Parts: sequence; structure tokens; C-alpha cells
Amino acid sequence: MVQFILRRIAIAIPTLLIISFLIFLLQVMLPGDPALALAGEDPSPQAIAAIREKFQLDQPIPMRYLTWVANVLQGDFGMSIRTGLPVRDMLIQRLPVTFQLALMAMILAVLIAIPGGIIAALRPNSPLDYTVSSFTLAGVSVPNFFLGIMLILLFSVTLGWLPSGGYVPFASDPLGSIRSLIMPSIVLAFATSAVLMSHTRSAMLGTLNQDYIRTARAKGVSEPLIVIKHALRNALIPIITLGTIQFGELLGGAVLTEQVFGIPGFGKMLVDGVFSRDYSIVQAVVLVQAIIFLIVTVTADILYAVANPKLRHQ
Amino acid sequence: MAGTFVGRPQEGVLMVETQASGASSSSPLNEKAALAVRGLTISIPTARGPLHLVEKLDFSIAPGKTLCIVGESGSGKSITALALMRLLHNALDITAGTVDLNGTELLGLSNKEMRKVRGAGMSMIFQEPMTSLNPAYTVGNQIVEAITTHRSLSAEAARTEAVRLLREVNIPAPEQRLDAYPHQLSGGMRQRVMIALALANNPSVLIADEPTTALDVTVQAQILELMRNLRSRYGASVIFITHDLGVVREIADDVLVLYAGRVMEYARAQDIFENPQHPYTLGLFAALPNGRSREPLTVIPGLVPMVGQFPKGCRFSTRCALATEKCRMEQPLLEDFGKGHRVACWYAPIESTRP
Repeated sequence: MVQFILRRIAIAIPTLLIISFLIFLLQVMLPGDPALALAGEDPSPQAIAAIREKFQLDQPIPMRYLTWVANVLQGDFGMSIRTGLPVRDMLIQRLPVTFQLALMAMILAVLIAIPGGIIAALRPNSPLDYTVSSFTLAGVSVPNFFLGIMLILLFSVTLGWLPSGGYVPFASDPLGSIRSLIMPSIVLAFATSAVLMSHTRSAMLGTLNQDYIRTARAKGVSEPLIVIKHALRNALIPIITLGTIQFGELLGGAVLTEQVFGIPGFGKMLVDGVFSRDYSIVQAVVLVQAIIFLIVTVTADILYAVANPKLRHQ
Repeated sequence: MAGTFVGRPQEGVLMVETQASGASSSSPLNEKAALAVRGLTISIPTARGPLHLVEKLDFSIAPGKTLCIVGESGSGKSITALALMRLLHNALDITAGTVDLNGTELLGLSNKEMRKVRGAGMSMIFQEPMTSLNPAYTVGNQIVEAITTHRSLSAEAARTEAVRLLREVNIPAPEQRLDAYPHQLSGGMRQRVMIALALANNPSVLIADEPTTALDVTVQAQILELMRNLRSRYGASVIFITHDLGVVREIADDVLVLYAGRVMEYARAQDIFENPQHPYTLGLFAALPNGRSREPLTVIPGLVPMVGQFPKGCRFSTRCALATEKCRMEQPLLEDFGKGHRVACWYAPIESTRP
């Protein structure tokens, strides 16, 4: 098992190098000259040159890549071209916000999806099953921003129960912080749970028809134990993988949802970075997203092996 | 162990209420049956009324005896077994009949009461050892579950009991095997584990649905041998479903020949082998390879008819070489032709002896 984990991590390292190089290249290939953008109106050639030198835009590309990687490894993501502040500080500020949002959305999604999927699978083609299917369809088709706006209209504008946007840091006011993220987590959980639920349903339908379920019934095992211990335990093996990857996607930042609710998270940082052509920010955000996703994928593989005895013993 | 039953009239084993004999169910011999099935009818509801997959099935088994149910695929053997356990698929219903296990009428039990019977009073071994164990749990976990579902034992005592059961079914190094997952065991080993599961609570009836079909020949012989030993040690009655007449000859006390959901012939094993009466039974024997000649195997032409396409008369009439207009139009009743040898055929009794 330890060997499996180590091997899985070792495979991730070259992937990470390739990704980092691509992110860097993409950046170089973007149209527009950041030095020109920074220099303001009617710049003198000297001013442009100075800016180029300051941000090392005058160096050859491989050199710039190596410098960048070396800096990143030391936790230095460079300075924001716009604000002149260290990108690292922005990351440290934004990541916990997105992490909290992703966690809340994921918990909510699992709480809806797993029981919903089980119930649908226990009574296939019943009204309950159709309700679950409709929910799934709605979940994957209703756009996030639309649902977000509707929620704001209902809970903030009409009822006045929840703040319409913004974020209260968890450390200063935990309850207020959770309150501030309730609506965005519902929005994110809606789509996430829809996918998770339909997979839970089909995985449960699959395991409930297995021979070992019949064996358990023949032993006299009670129905709840058969569903939870025998069927769900096996259905969870693919579900764990899916859920982990979904969590990774949520951690990558919800661009639209954060925008709608004005949450200073990771997704909003990316959007702002792109709009202001702030290369170091975009680079840093995309790189961190890639790293998060790699970690999540490796975790998913490891969890899959932990949940599946057949893999554990290989 | 077998000596316990010496002196019991063999007819007791076969004491059944059949439509033909109209024998009353108050026969004193009935009480000795571990399991008595009467008029069991299994149906699938359709828009045009229920279709009967198994119809008016009667049989009983004395304690410690083995009944073999034989017949081709599609004759209703497996659904009969599942019906006895009340584990039929939702789409199928038991529309008539009684299943009496040691004096308890199973079909009238609540689901909760029936759960107490499954795995304790009556247990079952399946055809597919490769998929019948839960891949997510160790063998020990699954045996312990079978034990503690019906008995309150401490975890430690249940584990000791599980080791004993694995030893009973001749699994080497049982203590280590407890922590093995099913995928680490061979098909034969898994079927041994299934047998251990089935024996966990010393059931009075053990249903084995083609337990050796999926195994290779040497393992088949071992499993059969094991089942024979355990039957005499545990004294359980066994319903053994098979289409392998070689297996029947080795283990059966009684034989029930099922065709398209109807009993064709029902008798002591010896009578079936020495004096088969039904053309279908004769056909099954004729289809046995004799191991000497190089001639092609004899087959019964055609296939078991589909449910809903059963002939009006004898179910076998579409494939029977002897069938007449009467066979096609009128269903023969299961009649006793002496010593409890029951046959459903207009031709019975025919001149005896094997072809």
C-alpha cells in the first residue's frame, strides 16, 4: 500500500512539471504587452525598458521559466503587476475562503446526494425516483449564476434572511462566516449533488443486484444492513473517486458563483487577474489550481485503493 | 447417522398431497417431514392474467435425506429454490401453496419472522461461488455475520465458531483464511466458504442450487464429497438442484424431475434409476454420455417452451416422441404407481427397465 502511494506520487511529479511549463508558455503566447500596459500613456522607450527589466520580461524564455520555477519552489509567486503586492499574500488571503466554500458545498452535496441516490435506487421507477431524476436534470442544467441570482432575490431581497454577498472571515465570526457562504454553497452543491446523486443511484442499482446481496438475504441479514453494509459499501468505491474529483473542482474556485456573490475567493482572483492582464496572478492561480487538482487526483486514487480490497492487496 | 432413519417407511419421504391422489394432508407421516411443500405455484403477473412458471409443486423431505430436483434450464428449479427461501425477484409471486418447515408455515410469516428462518432454519448455497461473497469484506466478517445474525455470541466466540466452520469445510489454515478477502480464494475455496456460511446455524434444510456447476471437475467431486459428509454429520435435509444425473446417482435419496414448471416424475432415487417411467426422464437418461461409444450424444430434440407458450396438455408433449392427440390436449395428473413412485404421463406405467 505504501509502495502504491509512493508510486502514485512519483507519477504526479513529471505531470506537474509539464503543466507548469505549459502554464508558463501560455502566458508568453498571450497577445498584448504587459510592459506597454503598465507604462501608462505615451511612455518613453526608457520607461518601457525599465519596466521590462524590473519584471524580467527582457530575459530569454527558458531563463524566465527557470527563474519562475525556482521562485515558486521558494514560495515566491512574484509581484502583482498591477498592485505591486506579493502574489503569495493574495493567495494566502484567498485560498481559505475558497476552501471553506468548497468544503461547505461538498458536505451539503454529499448529504443530499447519497441518501437521495440510495432512495431512488431502492424504488426504481417510483415517483420518488422520478423526483430524484428531475432534481438531477435541474441540477445539471440550471446555470449557477441564475440560481444564485434567484436565491439572492428570495432570501436577501424579499425575505431578508441572508446577506446578498460578501464574505465574513471564519476566524473573526464563525457563524457569520457560515451565514455569508450558505447561498453560494447551495448553488455549488446543487450541480455537484446532481451528478453525485445520479451516480450513487446507478452504482446502488448495480450493487443491489449482485449475487452477494442475495447471499446476505439468504443469511437472514436485515434490509437496512443489506443496503448500508453490503450494497452501499461497494457502491461507494466509484462514488468516492467521483466525489474527491468534484471536491477538487470546487477547490479550483467557482468563477461565476464567486462573482455573483462577490466572494473574494480563488475564482474571483483569477477573473480579476485576467481582466487586468496581471500575468503573475493568472500564472499563480492556474498553477495552484493545477497543483490542487493533482493532489486531489492522487488522493482519489489512494482512497479508491483503500476502499477496494482487490487493489489494496496487489 | 443414516441408521437413525432405518425402519422409517420410505413412503414417508414421499408422502405428499398430490392433485391426483387427493390424499388428505392429515396423514401422520407428514409430521416427520423436515420440509413439506404443497401446491406451490409461482407466477408472473401479466396484463392477461398471471403466467405460472411453476405449478402445483408437491414434495417433502424427511430429516437427513437428500432430494434432487433435476430438469433442463428453464424448468423452474432455481426459482423453486428461491421461492422456498422467499427470495424471489419482486416481479414474481407465489400465488398458491404452502411451505411447511418443521411445522411452521413459511409463506404466512412476516418478513421479519422470515428473516429469522433464513440462514437458521433453512439456508442456501448458490451456483456462482465467484460472485456470491461480498468483495468488500473478509471471509471472517461474512461468516461471523451469519453467526451473529441468529445467535448472540461475543465477537471472540463468533470468531472461534467461524474458524471451526472453516475447518469443517476442509479449508486449510482457517485462522489465516478468516482475514482473506474473497478475491484471494479460488472458486472451490469460495464455495467451501459458502457452505460454511450455510451451515453456520445448523439449519434443518440446506438448499444447494447447482453448487458444483461453476467448478471444475476435480473440485466438483471434492465439494460433493464434502456435502455428503456434512449432511451425515449435521443431519440436515438437502435439496440439491442439478442437471447432472451423475451427481444425482451419487447423493440422492429422492428425485423430482421438473419440466416447464411441472413435476414429471417423483420417486425414490433407486426407482428412478431402475425403472424410469416418464418419457422425459428416459430422455434425460438417454442423453447421458456412456463413456464408451464414440457415437454422438443422444439429445431430446427442441427446447423447453417459453412461459406463456406451454401446450394445453402435457407440457412435454411438444418434444415427446410418444405424444398423441390426448397428450397435447389433456394434462396428465401426477399419479402414484406404487411405492410412492409418481408419474405424470398418460402412458404410465410403461414396460420398465432402462433403455
